Amino acid sequence: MKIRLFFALLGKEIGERFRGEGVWTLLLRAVLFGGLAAAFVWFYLKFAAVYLNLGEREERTFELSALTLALLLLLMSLGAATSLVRSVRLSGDLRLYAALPIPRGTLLAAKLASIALGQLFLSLFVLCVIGTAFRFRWEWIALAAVCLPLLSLGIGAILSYPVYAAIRFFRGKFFLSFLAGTAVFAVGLFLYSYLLSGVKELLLGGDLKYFFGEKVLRGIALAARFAYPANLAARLLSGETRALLFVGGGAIAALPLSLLLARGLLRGAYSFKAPPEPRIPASEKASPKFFALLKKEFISVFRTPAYVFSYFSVAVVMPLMVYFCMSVGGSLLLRLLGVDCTFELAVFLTLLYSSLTNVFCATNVSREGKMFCVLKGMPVRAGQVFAAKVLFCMLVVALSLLASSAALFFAGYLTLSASLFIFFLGLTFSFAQVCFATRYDFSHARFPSEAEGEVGEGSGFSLLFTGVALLVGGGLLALKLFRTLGFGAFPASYSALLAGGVCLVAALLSALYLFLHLKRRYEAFAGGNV
Amino acid sequence: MTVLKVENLSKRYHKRGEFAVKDISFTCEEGEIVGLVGHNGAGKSTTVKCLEGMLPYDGGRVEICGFDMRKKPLAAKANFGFVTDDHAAFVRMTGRGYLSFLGDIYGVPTKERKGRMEELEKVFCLGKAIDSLIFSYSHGMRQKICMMGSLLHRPKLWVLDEPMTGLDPVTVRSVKQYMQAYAKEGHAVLFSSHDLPAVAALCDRAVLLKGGRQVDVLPLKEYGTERGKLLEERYFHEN
Repeated sequence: MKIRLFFALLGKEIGERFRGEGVWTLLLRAVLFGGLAAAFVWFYLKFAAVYLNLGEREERTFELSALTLALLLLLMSLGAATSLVRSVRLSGDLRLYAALPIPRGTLLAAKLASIALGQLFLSLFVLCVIGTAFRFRWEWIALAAVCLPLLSLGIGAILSYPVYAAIRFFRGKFFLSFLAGTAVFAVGLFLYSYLLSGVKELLLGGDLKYFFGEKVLRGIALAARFAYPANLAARLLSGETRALLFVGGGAIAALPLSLLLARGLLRGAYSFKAPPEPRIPASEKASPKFFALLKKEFISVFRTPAYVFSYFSVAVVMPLMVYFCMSVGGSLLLRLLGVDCTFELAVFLTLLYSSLTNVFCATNVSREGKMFCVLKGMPVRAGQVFAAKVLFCMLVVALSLLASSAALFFAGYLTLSASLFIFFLGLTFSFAQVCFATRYDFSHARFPSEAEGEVGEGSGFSLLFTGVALLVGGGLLALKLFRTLGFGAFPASYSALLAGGVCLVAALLSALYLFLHLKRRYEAFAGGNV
Repeated sequence: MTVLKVENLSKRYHKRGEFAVKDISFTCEEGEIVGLVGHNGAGKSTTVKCLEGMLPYDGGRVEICGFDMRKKPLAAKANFGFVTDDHAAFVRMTGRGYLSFLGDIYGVPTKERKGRMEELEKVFCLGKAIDSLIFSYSHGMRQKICMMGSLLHRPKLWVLDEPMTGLDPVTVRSVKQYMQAYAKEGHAVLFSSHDLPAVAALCDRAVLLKGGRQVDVLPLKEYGTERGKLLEERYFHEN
């Protein structure tokens, strides 16, 4: 293997992950990741302490560490499988590599190494947390941190074949892939709601005993016993040398296995045989201009897998998020502080989750690419083009908001008038966000370099409204708590007035920002690297 | 009737930068094919993009079918169809879906749309691929769907930027024949190209550009069989 070439390719693979990311975006991501990591560490350490107190510490340590490692391995293996398919089977740079004098072995080694490196950081982080929780020795932790990425690479290489088959199956089946993606997301969310209720119990000082009856503990023990190879890795952490033999051996064997299987994927990619294209019927019936523009917005999102997931699926699960968080948060605040903040919490959650649903509108112009300029050559008004974009985003978020307000009403958290208010509040806030983000993207358009390229929601700016939601909703919640605990009362009507006022002003300002002198700006547009 | 009138068109990409094109003036009459010729960086694509409304221009006047591009942009844009040099299209639409979208934008009624699609399909031979996503199209196929889309509303002016690049010889011949037939029907065609023999064979007049300036307008039609020689001589003399 050519070492210099290997490092050049590895550098390119790693650089690709951060390409086009600004300093602020990276910083924001680091802060978000740091926040999530801190929450995980806090929760895990607290949970481990409670779990160990259930008795038979050695058994409990093994069970919890084995199951944690099993979950970690599962996530890492799935991550490795999708990364392998993406970079070895579907990557666009393969067309270039095929024509360059690069040995396949070196190319594969670089691609596998870049995947394994990412996994090494994750496994090291999780193992450090487990090590701290159960006081494992650091040399075993380091050993496991090296072995786990290799194992996950091997498992991922095996899984990459069914993953690729699934990708091929879902090709062109837009509705089915949307349903599947949303279902997976919803299941993940359902599990997350369990986690939230666990956090609630921990915060309330409960010892989670109702969770872990004799039957549940027996089930956990059984699962841990059969959770191969994670249970062996757990034994390795506690210093069993026999486990080292299996885990180390497995890791060493996983390396050639993953190379062999990845070579098969690459061979398939280098054959450049495209499967037959699915035929999709399209209506030839005439429709009004505005409807055509609206339909175009829908199609370009719905038929791009990355977009459909980050937009429609998030919008579909948003009501669930609001409902779960409401069920946990409402009772938590009531029991901890004795203050009924149901309405304020509903405002906070609605603003927060609708802002997260709308993050996608930050690419309203950029995702169209050069076609945005081509559209300028067609007989359509600037107002029509932008109104279609705004309306499309609003339709999606309106349905989502309607479902979440209805859920809050039917679950008995809010009265009918309050849930209607929440719906319109969310709508006003979303309108502000959509207008503002669309205009900002119009002024700072970043078109993908290729016609079929996709743009990420990369701009840290798109999260500005999430910050506003946190500030308004969180501020309102804090005000309610502060006033109620200090002065005895803070009616919900005050909260409604405050939140409504802020959202209305934001909506008016954003609409002005987008639509004022739009025609002139549209005619003068020459951005997006055309 | 003058279909396209360009007067002193000027454009620069940066406020104090050099002009990408300056003082370009020419016309395109009914039934005429006009070629824009010049080497790389001469300003062909910039001129075409300004005419199409894709790029704002700093000075001059563009009039399509009597409609000023700045004062009456919608009416002007409704009278021409265009193909960009990079064959941009909504790649997540199928070929038929894209044509239908353009039909809606240009207000082509359902009945006429169907007939025109069939007619264009015969010229450009996209076959079954018309019902596949444009995403999966080859370079040439994308060019074909863009050409079909630009003709769906039967515009008075057909503007093409480097139309022959990437097409197979059979389609190139069909496109050339279609250009001639389209002009004969009383429409006007304007295209930019490096292909001197094609420009000489097809065009009634050729606008010669160099360094963003218009250096000549050659009345090729008047030179009969000598038109190729004339264009070549002038082109190499200027470049």
